[in-house]
Amino acid sequence: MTETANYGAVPTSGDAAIPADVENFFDKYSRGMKIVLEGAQADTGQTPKETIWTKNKAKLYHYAPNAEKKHPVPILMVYALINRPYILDLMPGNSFIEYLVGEGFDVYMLDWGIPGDEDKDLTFENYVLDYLPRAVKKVLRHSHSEEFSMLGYCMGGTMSAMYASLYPEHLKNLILMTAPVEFPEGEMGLYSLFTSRKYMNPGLLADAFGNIPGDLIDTGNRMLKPVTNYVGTYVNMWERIFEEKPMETWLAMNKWVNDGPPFPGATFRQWITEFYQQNKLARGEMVLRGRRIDLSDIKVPLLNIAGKKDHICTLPQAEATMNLIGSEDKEFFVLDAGHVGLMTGRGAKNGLWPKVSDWLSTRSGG
Amino acid sequence: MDPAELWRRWMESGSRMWSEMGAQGGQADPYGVYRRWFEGMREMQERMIGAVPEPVAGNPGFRELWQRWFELNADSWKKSAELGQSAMELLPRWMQMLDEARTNLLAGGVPPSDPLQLATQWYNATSGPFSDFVGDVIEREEFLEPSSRFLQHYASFYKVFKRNSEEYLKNLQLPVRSDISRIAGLVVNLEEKVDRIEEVLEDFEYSYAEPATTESVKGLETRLERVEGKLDRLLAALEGVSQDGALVEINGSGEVRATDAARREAREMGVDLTEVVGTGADGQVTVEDVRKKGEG
Repeated sequence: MTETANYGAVPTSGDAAIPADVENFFDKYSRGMKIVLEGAQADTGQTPKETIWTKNKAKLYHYAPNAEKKHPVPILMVYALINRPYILDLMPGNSFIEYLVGEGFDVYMLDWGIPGDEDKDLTFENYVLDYLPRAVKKVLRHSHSEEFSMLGYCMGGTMSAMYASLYPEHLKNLILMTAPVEFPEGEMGLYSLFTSRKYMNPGLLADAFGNIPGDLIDTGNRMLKPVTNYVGTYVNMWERIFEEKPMETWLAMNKWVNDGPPFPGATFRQWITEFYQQNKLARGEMVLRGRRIDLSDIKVPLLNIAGKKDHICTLPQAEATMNLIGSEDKEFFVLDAGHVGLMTGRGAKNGLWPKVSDWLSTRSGG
Repeated sequence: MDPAELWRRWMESGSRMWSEMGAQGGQADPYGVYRRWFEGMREMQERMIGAVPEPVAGNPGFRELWQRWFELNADSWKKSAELGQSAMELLPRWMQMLDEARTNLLAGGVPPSDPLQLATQWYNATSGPFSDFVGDVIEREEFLEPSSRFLQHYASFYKVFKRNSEEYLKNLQLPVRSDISRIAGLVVNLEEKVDRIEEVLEDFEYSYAEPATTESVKGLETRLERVEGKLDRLLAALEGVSQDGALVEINGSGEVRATDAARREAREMGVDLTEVVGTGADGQVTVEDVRKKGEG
């Protein structure tokens, strides 16, 4: 009996220098070091999608083309130029897009893609006046709908607001997620200092680099909370590894955080100078190709979402929209979350996602 | 397992890894900072471990260990302060940070023996005060001014370097990035044009002016024919009236009296006009007559 029990088992001799828990320890340790040195790998953006239009590097996706649509009015998501859009479709079970598709919405998203050297002269004029109207037209035709809802995230929200004031036709609803519209000095935390005229010369950077490297933008964002971003993230990782908690979300998030595309130089110059330093949009002085942008021209229903702990788009920056916009049906929805935590994770699942779905479903027909 | 031993091994493997990487770095040594940091940590840890009587008798030893760590750390800062480095006016702030961290850490009761838990606890205890400290530093002119100057210098340097290397490669008749991006730009322009053509085509396809289909053309034809037939009858009737009802015979040459439309229709349908009985005025053959004959 004893023989059968021991058969095939590794003999545990008394001279084993390393006890089992130490081996286990080093195994986990090496797993962690691998992530630190090689970067996180994860499968992101898995909701089925088809590309229905491309323009230069930009792509327009239609999600779950074969799923049943309960609401005839499609949603067009407009992403920012910073970071990649798969944060909205991070992984199965933790994906805003997957959730909306499951709720019966017809979801489209405009991904700006990764700009190349040749795109360094692209500006907000190109994005707001050339790309967006074309993408909207495509969405309307593809969905056989006369109207659509626009959901802009972060800088994509700022662009969506500009679009909405210039092209009211066909637009049914506007959702802005952590979208900075006003840039008041003293309300932007460290960003005020980082981007102040005294310390930041965007023209010089754009001239030298062409496109501003993603790392540089990323460093700026991380320096808003350096300890959390440079140390806390990895403490969290070690904790997960050693306590054998699920790693998938951490990996996906870490991959996303480190996957910043370059920022077209001319747009960067505009973003820092005209938005951060001169606060033109809120003042009604923003002019794109001779067309002045007046946010009070926006009359469609607005859902404006912001995070209390957001350091990238602070609460007052997003809240300003409420006074500038001309809509009567408008709501300011504040979550106790940061810039990214707002749309992913458990908090988002119970807070943001159902809110957006409820708000839209009463305004999307069907 | 002795936690101090575990901690020592972890530190060792970590620092070895970093120093090996540093050694491969060549003249640039991008990991120099980390290596130095680890070396400092190792030294400190050696002093720490050496100070603890072995084997560690339970957890209380660890509390002492940490106490010592903070003291040593604070010591080294004090020393560098004495060397008169300019940034050291931050020292009181740093000392305060360490103090807060120590209070937080030791408030948690007995430190755990698991090194990871220890590290987590350490982070949780120190990150708050440390963030505040770093925040303070970042907001200071002493930090912002040099960082911004560094960024600008770096950008200028980068630009000069880029231009020089491009010049060099161009002299060697080699294409450079800017050449490739110029071509890419041309491709983008071309695509832009294709996109515009596509847009126009789509506008046409989806607009209310629907393109003519075979069916719509056929429908139009039938309606035209009907109008033609009516006109034809009217014409024939009018001609009959103008000639005061006098019968006009088929003349000797055997020519059939028929309207122009009837002749065309007969040609198209392959109907022999002489076989058609005219029902129009004066027995003139109308389109209707030809059609009846052709279909019958």
